[in-house]
Amino acid sequence: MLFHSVDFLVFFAIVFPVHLLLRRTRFMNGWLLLSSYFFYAWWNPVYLLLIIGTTLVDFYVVRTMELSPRKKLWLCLSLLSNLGALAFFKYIRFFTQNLNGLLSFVGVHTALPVLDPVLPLGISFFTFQSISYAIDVYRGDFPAEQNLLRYATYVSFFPQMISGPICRAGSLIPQLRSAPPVSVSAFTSGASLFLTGLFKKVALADYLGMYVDRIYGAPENFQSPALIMATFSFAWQIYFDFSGYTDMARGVARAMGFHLTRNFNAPYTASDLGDFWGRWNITVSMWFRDYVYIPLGGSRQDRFKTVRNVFLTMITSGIWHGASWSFILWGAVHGIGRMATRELSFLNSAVSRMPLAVQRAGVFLFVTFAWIFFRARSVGDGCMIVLRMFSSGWADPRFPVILLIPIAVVWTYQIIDAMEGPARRFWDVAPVRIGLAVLMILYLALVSQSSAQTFIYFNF
Amino acid sequence: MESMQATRPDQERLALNLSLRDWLVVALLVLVLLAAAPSIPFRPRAPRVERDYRIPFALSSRYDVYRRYTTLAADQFATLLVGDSVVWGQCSLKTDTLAHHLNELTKQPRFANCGLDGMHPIALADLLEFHAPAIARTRVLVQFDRSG
Repeated sequence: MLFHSVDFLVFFAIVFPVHLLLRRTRFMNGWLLLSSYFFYAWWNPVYLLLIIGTTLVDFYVVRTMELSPRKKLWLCLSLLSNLGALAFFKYIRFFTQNLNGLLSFVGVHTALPVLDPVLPLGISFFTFQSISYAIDVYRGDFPAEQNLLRYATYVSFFPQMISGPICRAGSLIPQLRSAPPVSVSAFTSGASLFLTGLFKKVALADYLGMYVDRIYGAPENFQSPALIMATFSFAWQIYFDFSGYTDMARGVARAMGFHLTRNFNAPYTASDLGDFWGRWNITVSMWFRDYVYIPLGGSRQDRFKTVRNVFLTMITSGIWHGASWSFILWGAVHGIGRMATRELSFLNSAVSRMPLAVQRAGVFLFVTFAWIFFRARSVGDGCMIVLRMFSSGWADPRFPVILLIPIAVVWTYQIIDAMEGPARRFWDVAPVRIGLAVLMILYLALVSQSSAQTFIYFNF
Repeated sequence: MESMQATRPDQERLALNLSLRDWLVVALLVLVLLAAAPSIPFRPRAPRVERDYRIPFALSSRYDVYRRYTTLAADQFATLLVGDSVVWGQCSLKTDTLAHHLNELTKQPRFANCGLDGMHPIALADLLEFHAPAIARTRVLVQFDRSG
C-alpha cells in the first residue's frame, strides 16, 4: 500500500480513530500490529509469514540470549535468521549467477540452478531493524523486550516497515510502552510533514523520473547534455523520492503520536563526504557505522586500517542497496571518495581552505557522479554513460526546464535553513507557510499525475 | 563516519509546519481556488506518451517503470496491447509493431504498445497483477506465447 494512494487514505481513516480510542489501553499494540500486518499483506499476504517467522525467532532467541552465558551463540542464531532471509531473497540470484560464471570461467561446465524469488517488500529495512535490536541487547545497551506484541509492533510498525527510517529499539520500543501523546499540534505537524513528502514524491520525483527513465533506458541513443541532465535529475529524483517517503512515514507516525528518527538533513548541502553520509539516509548510515564500521575497528587503529574500515563499510553499504555489481561499484566509488577526502583533511591543504560553497559544490558533483552507477542497469552501462558524457555530441537534451525552478527553490531553502539570521526566519512567516502549502496542494491537484508510482527504495 | 549524529525530535525544525489555524486557511484558499480553476484558461497537462513508444529492453525488469507507463498509457489510449516480444516488436522498428499497424488501420492513436521484450508469461502475469493496476480500467489485448 502506497502512502500516496486512496487505499492508504481509507486505511488511515480507519486506523487512526481506533488508535485514538485504544491508545490508553493494553490493546494499542495489538491494534497497531494488526494494522501493520494488514498494510503489509496488501502487497503480498504470503510474505507476511516471513515477517512473522523472523519476528518470532528474534523475540525468543534474543530473550534467551540475555539470560544465557553463551550470548554469542544466540546472537549468531539471530543474525543467521535475519541475514539468511536477506541472503536468500535478495542475493541468491546474484550469487548463483556469478558462481556459474566463475565455474564456467575455470572450465567447470556444471551450472547451478538460478533461483529468482520475488523480493519481499522492505526486507532490507525490517531485517536491519531486527539485527540492531539483537546486537543492542547483546551489548547490554537495551534490555530484551518481554512482550511479544510490543516487539512485533516494533519490527513491523507500518509507517516505517517498508523503507525505514530504521528505528533503534531504544528509540521506538519505549514509545510503544505508554500512551503516545496525540494532540492537535502533533496531528497538524504530522500532516505538514506528510504534505511536504507527498509533494516531493508526486510532484518532483515522479516528474524527474520520467526524464531519467527515458535517458537511462537507452543511454546509447543520447548525447552528452542529455546524459548529464539525466544524471543531475536522478540525483534530485532519488533525494525527493526517498526523503519524500520518509517525510510521509514520519508525518503519519507523528500524527499518531510517535516520533521516528529523522532520515535526511539537506544532504546536498554537505561540505564533505563524511558530512554527506551524516545527512543522507541517516538511520541506515548510522546502522553501518555502529554495526559494521565500529566493530571493524573504526578509526581507533592505524591509518591504513581506518581507511580499510571506511572502504569495507561503503562496499557493504553498496551491497545492501542491491544485488548487482553496479551497486558494489557505487559503494566503492564512495569508499574511495571518503578515503581521499579523509586524507586531504589531514594535509591542511588548499582543498580544506576552500570557500564553503566550493566545497559543497564539489561534494554534490562527486555524489552525483557516483549516482551514475547506482542508477545504471549494469556496470557496463554506467561506464558507457561516463564515456559518452565526455565523448559524444551536444544535441539538445530536451530537458523540462520548468523543473529547475522547484529544484532551485529547495536547494536555496536548504542553504538558507543552514544559516542563522533573518533570511531563515522568512520561511516561518505565516503567509509564506500558507502560500507554500496552497501552491503544493494546487500543484498536486491540478498538474501532477493522478497515478501512484512506487518508491525507488522499495526495490531495496 | 564517526561524525554522524541523529537529530533529536525536539531539535528538528520542519521545512513546513502548519498550525490548525494555518490548515483551515489553506483549506479555505484551496477550495476557493479549485472552484475557480475551471475558468482558468491555461491548465498544464500531464505528460503524454509518444505514439509507438515501447519500454526499452534494458528497463524490462523495472516494474516501477512499467507501472508508470501503463498508467499514463491507460489514460491516453483506448486499448493496451500486452504481451512479450511479439507485441513489443523484437527485431522490428517502432514503426513496424503491432500497435503501430493497428493505429495505422484505425487512423487514430488508439493502441499502446505495452509489450515487454523477453518477458516470460508467468513473470508478465505477476507484473500485471501487482504492478499494473491501471490496466484494470481499460481495454486490454493480451498475447502469450503458448510454448513459454
